[in-house]
Amino acid sequence: MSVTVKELAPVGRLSVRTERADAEGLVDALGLELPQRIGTRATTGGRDALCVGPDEWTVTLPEVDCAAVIAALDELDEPACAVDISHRETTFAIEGPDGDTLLSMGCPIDVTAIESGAGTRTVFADVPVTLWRDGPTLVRMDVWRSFAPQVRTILEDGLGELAAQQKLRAA
Amino acid sequence: MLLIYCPYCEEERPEAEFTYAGQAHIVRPGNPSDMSDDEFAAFLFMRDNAKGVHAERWRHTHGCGRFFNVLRDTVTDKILMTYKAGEPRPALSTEAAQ
Ligand SMILES: [Zn+2]
Repeated sequence: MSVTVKELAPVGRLSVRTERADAEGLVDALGLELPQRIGTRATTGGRDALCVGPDEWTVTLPEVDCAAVIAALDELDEPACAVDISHRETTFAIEGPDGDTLLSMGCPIDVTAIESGAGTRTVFADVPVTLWRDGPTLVRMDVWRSFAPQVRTILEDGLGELAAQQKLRAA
Repeated sequence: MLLIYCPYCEEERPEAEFTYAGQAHIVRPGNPSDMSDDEFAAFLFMRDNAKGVHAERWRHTHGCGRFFNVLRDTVTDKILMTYKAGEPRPALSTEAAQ
């Protein structure tokens, strides 16, 4: 079975809302340019921004940088709002050639259609999640912490099924 | 499961990501105090029960989070068209309605 599930170390996460993604000073305040199309990402220097809605982005960054970014956004003339949601979520890294098969046990979308360097909000076994594809065989899945035990159990069940299938094939 | 085209994400997504939100194009009265109880009750409670094309609101809850409008045939459960919130109800060509 060639897929592993690993819970990642905590990371800083900001929910950024603004009507004007091209507003002056926004790039400097965030440390990156916000991508304009839903599902696309911009990545620079340890920061990663995913456009999740017409005026909404999720930005991951080192935890220590969150306060400075929020303060910098406060200074802008154009209203932009950043909320620290670092502790709201935890992230599972699903890595390996069977990763998409494992994800498709819970996701109603075609996860293989998410390109490397893109992402999306969706559901996994009815739980709201955010998927970030970092490579052909590597997907990060953000889950609200209160749902994490349920998601972990379902992922473990899936790993069990994949292992059983492999055993059958080998027999 | 229905596949719904989200006009904001510009993508077809499964129904599991969406929430139904009732009939579309219901205009909130500007000054409810000017209305009789019957008129206000009609605004508040009375909805179409169309057999055929129905304009209704949906929200892409587990996607972009936006409300938008859908034309759905209640007989076939086929979604004929989706369009952004605030846009007028589009006319359907007969081909699209079939
Ligand atoms: Zn959407």
